[in-house]
Amino acid sequence: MSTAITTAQTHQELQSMQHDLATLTAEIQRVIVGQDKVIRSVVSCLLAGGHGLLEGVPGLGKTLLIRTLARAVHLDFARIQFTPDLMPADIVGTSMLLQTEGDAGGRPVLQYQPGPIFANIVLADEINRATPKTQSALLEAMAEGTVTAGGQTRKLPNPFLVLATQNPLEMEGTYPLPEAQLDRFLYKMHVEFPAEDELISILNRTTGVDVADIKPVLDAERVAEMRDLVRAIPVTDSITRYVVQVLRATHADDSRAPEMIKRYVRFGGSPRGAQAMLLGARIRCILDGRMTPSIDDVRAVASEALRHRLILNFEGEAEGISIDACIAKVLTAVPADK
Amino acid sequence: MTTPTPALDRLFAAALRRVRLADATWGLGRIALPAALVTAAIVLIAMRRFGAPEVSLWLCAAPLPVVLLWAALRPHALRRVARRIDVHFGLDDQLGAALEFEHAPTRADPRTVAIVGLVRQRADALAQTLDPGPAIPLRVPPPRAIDAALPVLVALAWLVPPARAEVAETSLGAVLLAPVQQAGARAGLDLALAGPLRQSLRELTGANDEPALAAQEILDILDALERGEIDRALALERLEELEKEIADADAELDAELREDPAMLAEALEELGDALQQEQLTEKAGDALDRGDGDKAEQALAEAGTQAEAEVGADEQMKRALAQAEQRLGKQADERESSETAKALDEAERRLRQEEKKKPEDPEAAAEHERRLKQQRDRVEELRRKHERELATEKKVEELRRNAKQAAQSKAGSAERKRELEKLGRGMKEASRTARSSQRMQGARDAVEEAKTFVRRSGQSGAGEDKRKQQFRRFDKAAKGEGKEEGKDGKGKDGKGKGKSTLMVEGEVGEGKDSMGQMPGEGQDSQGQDSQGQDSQGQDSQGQDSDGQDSDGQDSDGQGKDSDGDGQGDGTSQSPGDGIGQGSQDPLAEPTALGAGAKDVRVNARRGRGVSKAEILKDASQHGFATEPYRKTFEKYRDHAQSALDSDAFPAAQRRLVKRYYQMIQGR
Repeated sequence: MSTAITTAQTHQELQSMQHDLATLTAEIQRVIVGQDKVIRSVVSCLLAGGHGLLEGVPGLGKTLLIRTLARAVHLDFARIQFTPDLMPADIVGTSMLLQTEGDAGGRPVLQYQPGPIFANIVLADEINRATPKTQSALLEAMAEGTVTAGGQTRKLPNPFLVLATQNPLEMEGTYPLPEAQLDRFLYKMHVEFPAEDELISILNRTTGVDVADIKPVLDAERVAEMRDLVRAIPVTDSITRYVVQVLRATHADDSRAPEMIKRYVRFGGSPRGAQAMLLGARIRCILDGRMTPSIDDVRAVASEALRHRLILNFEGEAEGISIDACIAKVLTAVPADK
Repeated sequence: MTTPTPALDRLFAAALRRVRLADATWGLGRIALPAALVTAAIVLIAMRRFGAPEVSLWLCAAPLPVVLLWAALRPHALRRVARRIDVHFGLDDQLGAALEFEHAPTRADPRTVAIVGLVRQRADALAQTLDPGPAIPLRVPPPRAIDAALPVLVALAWLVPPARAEVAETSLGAVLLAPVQQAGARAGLDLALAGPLRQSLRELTGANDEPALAAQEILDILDALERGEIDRALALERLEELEKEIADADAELDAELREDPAMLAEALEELGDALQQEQLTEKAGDALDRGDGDKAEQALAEAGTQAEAEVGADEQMKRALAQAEQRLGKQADERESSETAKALDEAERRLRQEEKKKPEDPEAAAEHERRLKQQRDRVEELRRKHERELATEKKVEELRRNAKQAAQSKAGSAERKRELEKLGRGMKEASRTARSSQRMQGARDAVEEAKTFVRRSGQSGAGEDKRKQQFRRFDKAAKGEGKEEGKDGKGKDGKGKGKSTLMVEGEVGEGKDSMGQMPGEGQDSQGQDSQGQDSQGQDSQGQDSDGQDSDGQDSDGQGKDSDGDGQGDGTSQSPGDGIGQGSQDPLAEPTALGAGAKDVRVNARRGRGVSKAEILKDASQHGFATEPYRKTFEKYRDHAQSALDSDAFPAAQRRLVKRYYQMIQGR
C-alpha cells in the first residue's frame, strides 16, 4: 500500500518538478532571448549540483543569464570579475585587522572577512582572465564546498554553484584553466551568437524603457528537493553501460575508440565525465517530461559533459581538430543496440 | 513487485514474429533464391556431365527450408527489438526501458521503485496503441547485379553439352560379361540339368543290392560336387572307381545268369499284358510290369483263390491264363530263328575258316593268332548268349506250359493250384533275374552318364572362357582398340557394307570370329546354326549332325537308343521362336519372350534297353530356329532404330545401343 502511495506521490512530485522547471525556464527566457540550450544546461547544473562553464565571446549575455537565474531561484548571488590582478584572497576572503570596541578596549583584532565565494550562486566572470594561481583558489570550493583561509576551513552555503564564463582561449590576455579545475565543471557550454530574430528581440528588450522584472520562482529548499528527485530517477543498465562505453571510447587506447580519437586525443574523459553524462541525461529526461533517460539523452549531453575533459595532443592542436567533432565520432562509433 | 504489462508483452511477441517474418523475407530473397539458382546450375552440370540422377534437382529446394529454419530459430534480443520500435515511433526508449526494468533488480529507493512502475505503466499504455508492422518492415532485398547473373548461370548450365557415353562404353564390356561371369562363377557346379539322372538314381536306390549302393554313392558324389566340397577331377576319379566296382559286380552277375534278362523282360511284359486284360489278374499284371515278381506271385495266388470261390472269376482266370499262354507261345515262335543263332553259326564258320589258314611268316602268325582269339571270343560270347536265349526260351516255355495247364485244369483242383504256384514262382524268378540285370545295367548307365555330365560341365566352363574372350574382344572393339582386327574381318568377309544404316556403321571385332560361337555350345556345337545366313546354307548339315548324335548312341551296340522307339505322350508346349511380341512404343516395358520357359518331361515308351532322359537347355540354338538370324536381326535393328529416333531416348545411351547392334549384326 505504501508503494502505491509513494507511486502517486512520486508521480505528483515529478509533475510538480517539471512544472517548476518550466516556470523557471520561462522566467529566465523573459530576460534571455534565445540560448535555450544554454538555459537548459545551466538549469541542469543547478539541479545536478554541478558547476558550469560558459564559453563565448563577450556580449552574448552570459553574465546576464547567470544573474537572471540567481534572481529567479531566489538564492544569494555573488559576482566575481576575474582580472589578471585578482588575488585568491579576493575570492575566498581574508583576515582583516579591525578596531574593536567595548571590552576589547579598542584593540585591533584579526577578523576573517568572507569573500564573494560565500554565496549560493557565484558568477566567476571571465574566469580565464585571472592567473592560474587565482583560478586555483576555486578548486576547493568547487570540489568540497568549503573554503580554507587563515588555517580555518569554512563551509560554503548550500546550494553552492559556480557558474563561470570565459572568453575563447585565442582571445588576448587569457589564461587557460588547469585541467584539474576544468574537470570540476559539470558542463562546459558554448554560447553561440544569436540568430537574426533573436538579435532583434534582444535589441527591442534592451533599448526600450521596459525592463523585465524577474520574480523568484524557486528557493533553496525547493532546489534541494529537486536535486534529490533527480537522483531518484531510474536508469537502465544499458544506459549506464552506454555511458561507460562512450567515456572509454574517448580514450585512445580503447578498442571502440574511433580513429580520430586514437590519432588526436591525448587524454580522454575522467569518471567525472561519466557522472556528468548520466546526471545530465536524468535531468534532460525530466525537462522533457519523461521519467527515465534514453540513449538520446546521453548523446545530447555528451558534448557539454565531455568537451572540457578531453585534451588534444600536439597533432590535434596543430591541425585545429574540434573536440566536439571527436565526441561526435565517439557517439557514432559506440553502438546503442547493446 | 513487477508491474504487469500485458499489452507490452503482446506487442513484443508480435514484434518478434514480425522480425522473424522479415528475416525469412530477406533470407529467401538474398540467400535462398541465389543459393537455389547456384545449386540448380551445379546439379544441371552434374546431370549432363556426370550422369547425376534427376532426383538431385531437389537439392535446389534445400536452401528454402534452411533459410526458414534459420529465420524461425535465430535468436533475437528483445531489447533491440524494443529499441527499434522506440526509435520508429520516437518514444525515447520508453518501451525498451520498461522491458529492461522488468528484469532489473529491485531498487532500494522507494521513489525509484515508484518511478520504475510509472515507466512500465506508461509503456504498457503506449503499447496498446502501437503496431509493430511499420517499425519492423519486411525486408525485400533490392536486386543486385549478381542476382541477374545467376539465371544466366543456370541457362549456361542448361546449355552444357551432355557427356559422351564413355561411361556406357566402358560398361559395355561389363554389361556383356556380367552374365558370362555369373555363369563362369558357377561353371561346373550347376547340376540343375542332372535332374533326370538323379531321378533315375533315386529309383535305383531303396534296395539292398549293388546297384542301389552304387546309385546312392553317385548321388552323394553329385551332391558333394554341387556343394563344392569336391572338384570335378575328384568326382570323376570317384565315379571311375565306382564304375570298376559296378563292372566287377556286373561280370559276376553275368557269370551267374543262365537266362537272357532282356528276353525274360519281354516275356514277362507279354505275360503282364495278358494278365492285365482281365480284372481278376490285373494286379498281377501291373506288378509284373513294375518288375515286382513277389507281388505278382502273391496277386496271382489271390486271384486263384478268388477264382475257386466265384464262377465268374474262374472264367476270367481261364481267359487270362489262355491269353498268357497264347502270347508267350507267339513270342517263342518269333524267336525260333533268332539272330543270335545265325550269328553263332556264322562266327563258328569264320572261326573254322580261320583255323584252317596257315600263316606263312611270324607276323602273319601273330595276326592269325589275334584274329583267332578274336573269333573265339566272339564265338564264345555268341554261344553264351545263345545258351542264355535257349535257357530263356525254355523258361518261357515252362511259363507258357504252366499257364496252359492252369487254364485247362478245373477250378479249385489241386492241379490248378500247383500250376498256378509254378507259374507264380516262375514269374517271380524271371522277374528277379530280369530286374537284377536291368538294375545293374541301370547302374552302369548311371555312372557313365554321371561321368559324362561331370565332364561336360567342365567343357561348359571352357566354353564360358571362350565366350568371355569373345566378349572381351567385342569390348575392345567397342572402345576402338580392335581397329586393325575389324578391318581384317571386313576384308575377309566382305560383308557389312550392303546395308549401311545409322545403326550399322561398320564392322566390329575380327572377321573370322563369328557370333555363332554363342555361349552354351559344347565341343560338338554347330556354330553355323546360329549364324544366320550360314545356317541357311547348312541346314542339311545341321540335321545330319543331329542324326549322327543319335547314331552315335546306337553304335555302342547296347540298344540304348530310345529315340527310335519312344513316342512322346506328354503335354509338350512349343518353346516359341524366341522373339518377343514387340511394342508400339519403342521405349515401353520389354515384352515377355515366349521362349519355352516351361520344362516338359516326355515319358517315352520303354523298349528292351534302358530309357534315358536329357534336358535340352539351349535347343532353340541347335536346330529349332525357324527364322534366319539375319532376318531376325533386321527386325530388331529396325525396332531399335525407331527407338533411337525418339527424343525420349536418353542421349547418353544411344551409342551403347548402336555399338551393341553393330556387334551382333550378321556377317
